[in-house]
Order: sequence, then structure tokens, then C-alpha cells
Amino acid sequence: MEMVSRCVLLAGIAAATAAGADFSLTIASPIAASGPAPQDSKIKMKVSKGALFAIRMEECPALNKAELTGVAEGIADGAYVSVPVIISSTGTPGVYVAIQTWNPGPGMWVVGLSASCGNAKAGALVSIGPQGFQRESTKLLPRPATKADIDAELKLLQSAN
Amino acid sequence: MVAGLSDREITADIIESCRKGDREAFHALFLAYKDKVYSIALYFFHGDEAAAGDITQQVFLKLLLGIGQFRNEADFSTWLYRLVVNACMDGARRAKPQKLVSREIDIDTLPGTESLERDFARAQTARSVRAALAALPVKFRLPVLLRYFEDLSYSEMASAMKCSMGTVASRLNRAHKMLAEKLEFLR
Amino acid sequence: MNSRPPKERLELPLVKAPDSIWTSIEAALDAQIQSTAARPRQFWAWGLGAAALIVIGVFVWRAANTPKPEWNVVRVDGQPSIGSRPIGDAAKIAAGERLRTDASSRARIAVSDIGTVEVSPNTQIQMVAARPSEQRLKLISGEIAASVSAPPRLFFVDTPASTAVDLGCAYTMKADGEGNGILRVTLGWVSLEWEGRESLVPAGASCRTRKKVGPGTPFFEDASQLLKDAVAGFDFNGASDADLETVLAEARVRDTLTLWHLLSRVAPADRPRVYRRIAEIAPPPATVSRDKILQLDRAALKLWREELAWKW
Repeated sequence: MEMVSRCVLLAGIAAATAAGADFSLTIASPIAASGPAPQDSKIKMKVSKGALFAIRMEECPALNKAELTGVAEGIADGAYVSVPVIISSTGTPGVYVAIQTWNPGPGMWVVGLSASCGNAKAGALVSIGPQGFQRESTKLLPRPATKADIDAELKLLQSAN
Repeated sequence: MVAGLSDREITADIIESCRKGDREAFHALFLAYKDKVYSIALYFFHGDEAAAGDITQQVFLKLLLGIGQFRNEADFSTWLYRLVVNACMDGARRAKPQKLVSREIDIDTLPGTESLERDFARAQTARSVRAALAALPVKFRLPVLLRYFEDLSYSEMASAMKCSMGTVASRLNRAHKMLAEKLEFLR
Repeated sequence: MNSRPPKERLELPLVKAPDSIWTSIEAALDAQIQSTAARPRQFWAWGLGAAALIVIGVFVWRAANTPKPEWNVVRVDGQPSIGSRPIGDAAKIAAGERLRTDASSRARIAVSDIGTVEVSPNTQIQMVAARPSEQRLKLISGEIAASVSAPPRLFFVDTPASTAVDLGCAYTMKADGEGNGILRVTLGWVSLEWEGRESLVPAGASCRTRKKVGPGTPFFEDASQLLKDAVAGFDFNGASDADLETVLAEARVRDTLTLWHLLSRVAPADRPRVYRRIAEIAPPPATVSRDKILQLDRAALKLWREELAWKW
């Protein structure tokens, strides 16, 4: 019996380690999080007008223990600004949308995401231009985004423009 | 639900239910007559679907509001087509300054005509007839439409158009002559 | 005199009246019932006691405060008109009424409290219904830009070739006098529907419509011109094999939106080719089998679409 328990425990650890190793984020347009409601549905599935992008946690077996935070840094009217980003859950487990908290207008922004699933960590850097979320510039990280990551990305974005 | 009746099946009961404000009965009445009313208005307004839709809506609203006024089933279609005639004439008066007319391309592409126009010659004939009809003056166009869509008698047309049977006969006769002249090349 | 005139031989086929007419009639009837309910009927009140008066008072208050089936319209430019009357700076439009703008005028409609519709120059619209469960207008010709924040399937725009069903979004809809048009979605999703044919159009994508055909296949605006032209050819010009081949060859990851719609629009013999191309770009989830997709199983198609949407 003890042997069986130990095997189960080891298997659980192995699975958690494997899951942790693959834990990552997928970033997409907000339309991925809303989806068209079926014809016979009255469920509210609208896209929030402030939604910047959708986030999905991949390979996270314990979503109830998962955490996701975001911060946006940007240059607006020549000034450097740092603001928190609201991460809003959707009706689908593990799927969230990032909500814009700054006034829309010209400027460049980078959202840094930090996620955890148990002991596993992941992150992302998402560039936001005047037209919104820039899929091609998005960078997925195997760890939480740091302030240095965000600053470097913002400088890169600034030099590219 | 009593939807799906033909206009011949509209009974005194349905009309009585409409008088009492029964929405489903009114819907049945609408379903029975809507295509004829719409078609008359559509051909009358040279294929203008929006105008035909407006006229159909107006006619049925007036019909419901005034349904207490008429007494028996036999009068019903005459009364209905009087409303259609009035609505078309009013619409034509309003439309004149805006030059809403002469959209022959719409007449040529009316929906629901494919099955009747399987061969080219027949389609050509149909197009020519519609164009000739659209070119008739209003007072000649209406009796032709009432005749073809509702098969009204002289007396029923006279009642719907508020004129004498002699006037109806003469207008229909002249309308047919004008159509014959315009369609001479088809003979 | 012969009471039944002779019937000449004429080809005048009966034309089916659009279903939207009944919707407009119902809206107008509802409006009438509401205005009757809002009118106090004094002879009732004389015979009632204080308690009954309170009940009637509450009823009248509620009737008066029930949203009327009309929308507010403001003039943005020029001189838009409702029916034959110019609207001035602001007006109300009721079910069945038409709003027109000429080449130099624009207007903005507040669609109850769920959003706005900007009416571009040279546009004609008709209000069809304004009920809690349905807000509907008809775009007769011209262009509108709608921005709606409401539960899905509450706001509808009818055109002669399709109905745009709002699924929580912002979009523009253009229709010419013949009923042909194009939908461009800027936020969220719109479903374009016509006689059982449905196109789901997300933000960044467009979809053409044609009279008697209905909605075409949606495509992303940033797709190659070759793909866009081939989609138009496939939808409205005979669905040739050459057009299908071009679409398959030109498709990027994002264009799986177009390919996913084509699965149910190509001939059954061509379906495996379309499936193969999508699967090359973005394999289906493990729970979705090839057979189910080729059989057009709704649940399987939906699961794959939801997965593909993460790449759109």
C-alpha cells in the first residue's frame, strides 16, 4: 500500500514538473476570448471595448491556483508612464482579457505579463500601437516579465518608430 | 396558430378575431394577402422594393385599425384593394417630386421569378411586359395590376378605385391597347 | 356589360413580400398599444377607490416610463430628413420611418441605450423595430457605422442581401441600390445571415454580400489581393477550381478564417483539400477528428474554429 502511494506521489510530481515545464501563455486578439455566441444562446459574450488582447494559460492543470498580473509602460506625449493593467477573467477557465486603463490616443505601450501556475512561471511582452495589439511583436517568456524587459522592449519599439 | 391560409380561406371567424384584437388572426390575414399586396405595389412602383414594403405595411396597419368598419367576408378583398389603391396613389403623389421612378434594372431582377423564366424567350417576354407596364400612366396601371393579381370584376375594381364600372372598362381597355402597342414586336 | 373583364396573357409573377414587413407592423402595433396605455382614461378613475388609483398611477407611470419604440437622431452635417421633413438639429425616428442623407449630410442615431449608428452621406435607412428584445433597422442603400454594446443577437441590420447580426461589436455596412454590399468589422464579431447561410466575421475581417446569393466568405483585410479576388470569384462567379486553388495557395495562418468557412461551401469532393490545408497551418485539437470535419459535424467545426480564432 505504501509502495502504491509512493508511486502515485512520484507520478504526481513528475506530471507537475512536466506541466510546469510546458506552462506558457498564448496571446491573441480579443476576438479569441469572446467568440460568436451560438444562435440559440442568450449568453452575453461581448468583447469589452477596452480589451487589448486575450491571454490563455497553456498546460496549467491547477487553474484555481494560477495567477496572472500585468503592467503597462508607455510613452505618451513625450512622458514615460507606468500603469497597472486589469486582467479580467472570461467565462472560459484559463482565458483572460487585458483591459486598457489609459486613455486611448497616440503613443507606444508595452504590457508585461507575469503568470504562475503552482511553481511554474511564464510571462510575455505585448506591444500596443495606435491600432492596438501587435501580434508580430509579441514575445513569450519562460518567466515573469521584469521592468528591465519592458523598458528594453519599449526602447526597441521607440527606435523602430 | 392559423398562419398559412390562402386568401380564399379567410373566414368571417378570422376577421371577427381580428376585430377583437387577436394578433395571431391578424398575422394569418397578413400571410394570406401580403404577397399580392406587395406585388401590386412593387410593379406599381417600378420595382422599388422599399416603396413596396412601405405600402404593404401602411395597408395592413390601416386594415387593422379600420377592420371594425366592414360587415362581411364578401366585402373584404374589395375593401383591402381600396386601401391598396389609395396607398399607391398617395405614394405616387409623394414620390413625384423625388423622381423615385424608372428603375427598370430592379424590375428585371425581381426575386422569385426564376422558376417562371426558365427559358430565355420567356424571360425576355416577361421583362418586356414589366417594362411596358411600368411605363403606363398610374390610372391605367392600377386596373391592370388589380386584374392580374386579384382577378377582380369590373364592379369590384370600380369599388376599389372609387369610379364607375364604365371608367374601369375604358381604362382597362386603353391599358391593354397601350400594352399591345408597346409589345407589338413580340407578336 | 360583361362583369368580368377579359384577361390578356401577361407574365407578372407574384413576388414574395419580405418577412421584415411583419416585424415593422408589429413594432407599429406595439407602439400604438403603448401610447394607448399611457393615456389616462378618466371614466375608470371615478369609480375606483384610493387603492385602485394608486395601482393605476403605478401602471401609468410604468407605461410612461417604458422605452418608446423610437430612436433619437441628431444631425451631424447638412440636412438629413426623416420622411419628407428635415430633422433640424435633433429628431426622433419611429418604426417604419425612413432617414435619408444627401451627398452633404450625415446623422447619428442613438439605438435605444445599446449603441449608436452613424449614417454616412447618400444613405437611406428605415427603422424597423425598437423592442427590448430586438433593435432592427434596414439599410436600403449607402453606408452606416454601428457601434453596439449589448448582448448578442439584439441589434440587426437588414439589407436586401443579408442580415447583419450583432454579437457585441463595431462595424461598417455598405449596400448599393441593388442590395450588394460589404461588411467591415472593427471590433468583436458580426454574423451575416441569409436564408440559412451564415458567415462569422471577426474584427479586422470583411465579408461581401450579393443579392440572391447572401453573404460571401469572410476574409481578413490584410490578406493578399490575390486571395481576396479569388474569394470573390469563388463566392459570386461560379466557384471555380482555379479560384479555390488560389485561396488555398495564398492562405496564411490568419486566413484559416476564410478556409474554415470554405469547408462547408466547397463541393464534398474538394473538402479534403481544404481540410488538409488548414491542418498544415494549424492542426485541429486532439478532440476533433478529420472524419467529423469532413462530415461537417457542427460541434467539431465549432471546436476547431474556437482554436483557430487564437491565430486570427
